[in-house]
Amino acid sequence: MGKLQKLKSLIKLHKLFHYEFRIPKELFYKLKLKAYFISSSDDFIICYGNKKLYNYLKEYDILYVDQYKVVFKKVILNKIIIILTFILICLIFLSSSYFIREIKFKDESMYDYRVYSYVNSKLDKKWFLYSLNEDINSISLSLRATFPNYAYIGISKSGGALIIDIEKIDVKQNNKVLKNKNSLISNYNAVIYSINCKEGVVLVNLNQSIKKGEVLVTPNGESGYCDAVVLGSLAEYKTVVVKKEKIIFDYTGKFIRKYNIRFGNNNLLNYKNIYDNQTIELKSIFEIFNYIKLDKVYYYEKDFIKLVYNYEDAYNYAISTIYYNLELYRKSTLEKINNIKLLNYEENEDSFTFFFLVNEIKSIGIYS
Amino acid sequence: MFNEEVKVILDSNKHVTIKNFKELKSINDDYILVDNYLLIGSLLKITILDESYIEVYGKITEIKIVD
Repeated sequence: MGKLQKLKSLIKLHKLFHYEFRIPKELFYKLKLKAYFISSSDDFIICYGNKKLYNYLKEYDILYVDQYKVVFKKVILNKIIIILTFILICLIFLSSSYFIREIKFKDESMYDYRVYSYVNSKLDKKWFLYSLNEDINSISLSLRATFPNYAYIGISKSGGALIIDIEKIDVKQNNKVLKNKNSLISNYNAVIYSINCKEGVVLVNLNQSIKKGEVLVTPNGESGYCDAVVLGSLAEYKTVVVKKEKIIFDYTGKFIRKYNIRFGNNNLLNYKNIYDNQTIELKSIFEIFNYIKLDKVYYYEKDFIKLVYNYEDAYNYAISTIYYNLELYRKSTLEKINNIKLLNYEENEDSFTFFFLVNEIKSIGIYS
Repeated sequence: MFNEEVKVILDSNKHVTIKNFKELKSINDDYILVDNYLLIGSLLKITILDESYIEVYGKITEIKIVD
């Protein structure tokens, strides 16, 4: 018999006689009682009975012990540490989906300290536990609004982990180096960092300091074409204006989940419009012989959303636009931003203006 | 209502039930006196006692009828 069953039967049994009485012998023989487990001890009779007997004997001022209390002390109090530990484990288990243990990137190679700090700032610390101080959808939305340098950014929760999902802008189309019949001249004052020349005559050396307007590469004498990317290390002043209020078209965070069974190409569910603007995402649950398929269908609502930037969000947005421009005009994978220093900022009624000094490695040549 | 006869049932030398008894006169570890039936033995214990029913467990060596 298991311990729990033993305890149950003990309690059930005790319903009949959970009071223990010590009744003087003389009195016991006089009274006609219904009692259990009767034994004698000196001048007393020890017996057990139920609540009815207890009420009956009340007027005789008899010593008694409530066995429920004894059982409670013996079984419950002795095991209080185990019970408390069990309750604590249950609480931890139940709260694990509410509290955040860690923030991690879905793709660790996409780690961005600014994004990490931003998400971290959305956590409330209570003793050693962290919880989100905003709705997860609104954080995803503000992430997308604050970091436009990424094609997609959002967060999701998996157990106690907050997962940041980032997708970079596809820069392959900007990576093409076009041939040109003109010379490549420098558009900045810089120090030459890297030269990648496919066609043409290179007129500068690595680590050479050059001025704006200097010729970097001239067309090849034979083909008459110039095809090169010259990277320079330089410092550049950049001014970014961020409006305090902005309306964007994005996911509102509302979504509806439905299930769909497909028989071949026939859908059981009609994909009608649930929202005015929506994105539908299908997640396959299982399929049998590639014919019967069960899918989860998510309808995500998209709408115009008004965003209001405070200083911090505007600052992050401004920095992200600098990174975004780098991605947008990237010609080489070696191009990068070394650091961005905020020199000054102005705040107007409807906008923030940030003045940065950007230390970067970028393509400095233009054909002319 | 009916003056029923006292029934003493000895199941084994460890278990005795007495039905329709009138008075429980004495309880000890070595003997129990019910009406004029004296149950003698050792470690005697009444497990159930009702108005007219009694059940005794223990090592029963003798049942005497006393006056």
